[in-house]
Amino acid sequence: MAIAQIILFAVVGAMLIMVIRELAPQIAFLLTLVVAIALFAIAMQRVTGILIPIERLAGEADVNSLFFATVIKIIGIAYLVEFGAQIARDAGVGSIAAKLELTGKLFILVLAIPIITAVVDAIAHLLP
Amino acid sequence: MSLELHVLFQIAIVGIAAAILASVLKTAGRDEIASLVTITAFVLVTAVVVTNISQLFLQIKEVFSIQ
Repeated sequence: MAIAQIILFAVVGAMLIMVIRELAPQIAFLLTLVVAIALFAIAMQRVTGILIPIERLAGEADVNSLFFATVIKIIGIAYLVEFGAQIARDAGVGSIAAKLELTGKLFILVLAIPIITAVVDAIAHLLP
Repeated sequence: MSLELHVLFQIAIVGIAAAILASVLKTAGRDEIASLVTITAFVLVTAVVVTNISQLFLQIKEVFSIQ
């Protein structure tokens, strides 16, 4: 029961943070960060298990490996940006979180440009 | 999988100890030493947290093969 372990970890972390917040607010924030990191790391370990079969399926379906790698990269950037933005929001600087999300969106757009151009080229070929 | 509960308790104990030490020193009239204790605890905990963050980011880069 890995999920029970994870839930208990989160609950223990929440209790500790509740206690520490009265005594030392900065360290309570760092404790929040540690709990978030641990949970995120476990999520990433699970994602590794998901990605390998998906990659195999994509190989069998003859998906262009460049496009597939781009999509995986975009998902990774989305996870990273979301994580950073939530940390910034926890620290009480929502404006930095918003800028980080904007930057992440722009990066994703830049990565997606080859796919977009390929789609537009395909459509242009179909049209007479 | 590695749920590092001991890191959690470590940080909590450092925080509680630093807070108690700082308040005792403050009541004893050593305000500068109290603030030094607080800063030291903060730096200690930050070192642990930054190590964890760098590990996590390396793991994410590896999983999603970013660069």
